[in-house]
Amino acid sequence: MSNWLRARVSTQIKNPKRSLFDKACEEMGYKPDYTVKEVHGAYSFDESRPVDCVLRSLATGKVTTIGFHFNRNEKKEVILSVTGDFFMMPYDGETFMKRLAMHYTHVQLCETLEEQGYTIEESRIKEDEIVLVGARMAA
Amino acid sequence: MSEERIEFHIKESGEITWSTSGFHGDTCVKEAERVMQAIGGTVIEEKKKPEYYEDGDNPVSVLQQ
Repeated sequence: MSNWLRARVSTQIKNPKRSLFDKACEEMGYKPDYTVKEVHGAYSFDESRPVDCVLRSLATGKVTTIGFHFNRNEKKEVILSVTGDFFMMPYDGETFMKRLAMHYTHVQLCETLEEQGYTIEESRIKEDEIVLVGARMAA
Repeated sequence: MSEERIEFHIKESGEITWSTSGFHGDTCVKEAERVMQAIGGTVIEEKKKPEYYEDGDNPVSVLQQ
């Protein structure tokens, strides 16, 4: 029996698992640095905002102008929000968060498939879509 | 032994499409439920592929007289 389905996941990341969040950032070319607690503007170093972590570029190792907060809402869920300066970036904050959520879903699915005994046969990352193929021998 | 395959297309909009092949019985449906629960997904639409109706493991059988 085989099926096809269409589903929807939230583009807001709730209760993020640290290891998966780190992997999702790495897929986008960044590494979270939890020791840096403020983010600065692209051209104004004096302008800063407090954050829980900032992103470093994997290519250069330099701290970027993007940081995150892990805040609890009234339902006690941890909600990830971004604070940053997206000037000169290829996307705005909203697009960045949607893309990060897409990568977070991807790493979540990889982990879930591997837990279920699948081998990841293909993981193709395009700009606005990720194709993931898992396979296993039937029991 | 046959191979069970799952293919996902994850979109930036939060939409995911899932396609399976090689599953027997209703295991693909149960597998979908398990995966969607793990990622907090909501199923919008589901279709059975043609193989579904060709599978000898279909639990429904009709006897014709």
